Amino acid sequence: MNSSTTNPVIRLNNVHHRFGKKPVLDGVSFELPQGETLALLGSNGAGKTTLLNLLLGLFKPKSGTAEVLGLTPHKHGRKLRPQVGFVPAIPDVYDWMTPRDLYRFLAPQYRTWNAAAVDEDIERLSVPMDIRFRDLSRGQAMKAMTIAALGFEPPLLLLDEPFAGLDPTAREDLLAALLERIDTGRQSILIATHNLEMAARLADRVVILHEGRVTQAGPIDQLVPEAQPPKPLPRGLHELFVRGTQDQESVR
Amino acid sequence: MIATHLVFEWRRHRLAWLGLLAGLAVAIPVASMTGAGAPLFASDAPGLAGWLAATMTILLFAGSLFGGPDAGRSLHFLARLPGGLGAACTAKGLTLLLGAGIAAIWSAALATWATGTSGQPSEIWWLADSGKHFAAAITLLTCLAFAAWALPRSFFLLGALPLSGALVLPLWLVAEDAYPYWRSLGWPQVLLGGALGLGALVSSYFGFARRIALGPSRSQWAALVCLLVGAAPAWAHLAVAVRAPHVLDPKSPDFRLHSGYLLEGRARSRSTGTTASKAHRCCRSRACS
Repeated sequence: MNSSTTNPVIRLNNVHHRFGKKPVLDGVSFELPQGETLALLGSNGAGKTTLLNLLLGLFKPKSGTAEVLGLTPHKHGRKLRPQVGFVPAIPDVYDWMTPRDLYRFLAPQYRTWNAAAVDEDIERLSVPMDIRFRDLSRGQAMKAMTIAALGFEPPLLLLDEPFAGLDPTAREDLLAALLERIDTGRQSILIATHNLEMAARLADRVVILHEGRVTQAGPIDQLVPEAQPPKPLPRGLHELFVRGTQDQESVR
Repeated sequence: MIATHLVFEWRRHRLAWLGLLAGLAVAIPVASMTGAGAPLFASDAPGLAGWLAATMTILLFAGSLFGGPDAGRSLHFLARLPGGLGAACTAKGLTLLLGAGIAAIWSAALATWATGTSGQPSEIWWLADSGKHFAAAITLLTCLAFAAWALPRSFFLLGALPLSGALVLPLWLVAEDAYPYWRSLGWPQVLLGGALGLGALVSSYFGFARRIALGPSRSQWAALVCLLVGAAPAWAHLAVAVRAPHVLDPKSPDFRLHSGYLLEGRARSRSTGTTASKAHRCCRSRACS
C-alpha cells in the first residue's frame, strides 16, 4: 500500500463541532495518507457519523480546519462531491428505487462512471437489480450502495458501519470487494466502525474516537506492535455456512 | 445535472401527473356543460378550472416531491450527489411549475372548448381572468416554498393552504383590482407578485437546499422570514387600498371601455375599463340591467 504523508487525502486540525450545546467533536486532529485505509473506531455516539458528514461537506465545523483532497469540504462541495464515495450506515436512497433505478440515476451525474466495472460488481456480489430498496435485505441493500459508491471510482471512499447487521456471506462478499480496491492502492478508504475484526483485516491506520475526542491515532503496527495478522475465516466454515443457508432455503 | 434530476422526477411522478390530466379531461367538460344553463358558472369556469387545476397539482405534486416518509433521510442522499441539494431543489421546483403550468393550460383549453360549446365567447377568459391566473401562479410558488421546508407530508397538507392563503390573499385582491391585460400587466401586480414570488423561491432554497447545512430549525426560520419579507409589500399595498378604496365610475367622463361582452338575454355582462385619473384599474359588473 502506498503511503505519502506529504499529500494526505484527509487532514483534520483541531476540529470542534456541537449540536446545540452538546459538543460532538472536541479538537479532532488526524490525517489519512493517500492510498491507505483508516479505521475510525468508537462506540455508539462517539461522533463517527458526524465526522463523516463533516468530511462530506454537509456542514461547517464550529472551529478548526478540515481538508479533503486539498479542498475545504463545506466550501468546495461541488468540486469535492464527484471525488468522494460514501456508503451510509442505513441505505438512504429513495426506498421505491431499485438498484437498476439507482445506477441509471447516478450514471449521467458522474463523468467517471464506469458502467463495465459496475456490471461486473453486480454480477460478483449477486445484487438483485429489480427489487425495490424497501424490499431488499440489509445485506443486499448495502452491497447495492457500495457498488454505487465505487461506480464512479472516487479517489476517497467513506464507509459508515458497512458491516453492521450483515450475515457472514454478505460480509465476506463486501469485504472481498473492498480488499480488491485496497490492493490497487488507488483509493484511500475511511471506515467508521466498531467491528474490530473488520478493522484489523482492512486498515493500515486506526483512530479511536471517544466522546468526540481522539484518544489513539496512528499506524496499526505502531499502536499494537505485538498484534498478529488477523486470522482469515476458515474456508470450510464459510462454505459450510453458504451450503447450510442454501439448504435452509431449499427446504422451505 | 438538473436534466438528470428532471428525468428522475418525471419517472417518479409520471403516473400521477398523467392521471391528473386524464381526470381533468373528464371533469372540466362535464362540469362546464352541466353548468351551461347557469351563465355565472359558465363564465367563471375557465378561470376557476385553471385555479382548481393549479391547486390540485400543488397538493398532488408538492407534497410528494418534497415530502413522504423517507424525505428526511433521502436529503442526505441528494446532498451527496455532484449537484448537491441545490440541483435537486431546482429540479423539484421546475417539475412542480412545469406540471402545474401544463395542467393549468390543459384545463383552460378544455374549459374554453366546453364553454365555447355552450355559447360563451371562448377567448374571454384569457382577458378577464389574467389577474386570477397570475395570483394562482404566485400561490404555486408559495406552496412550493412551504412544501420545501415542511418535509413531513401531513404537516405540509395542514399548513400549506392556510399559509398560502394568508400570503397570497393580498396579491389576489390587488390582482382582482388591477388592470387585467397580460399585454400591459399593471406594475402593482408585477412588483408585488414579483416580490412574493422571489421571496418564495429564496424561501425554497433555504428550506430545502440549506436544510442540512443550517439544521432543520434555522433553515425553517430563514425560509419563513423570506416568505414574509416577500409578502410584506403586498400586505402594505392591501392596507393602503383598504384605507383609501377607489371605486370606478363607469359613468365618469374619462372612463374608457377596453373590452366586454353581453350574454344573450342580458343575463350577464362583463366589462373592463380604466379612468384617466386612476390608470390600471378595471370595473366588472356581474349583473346587467
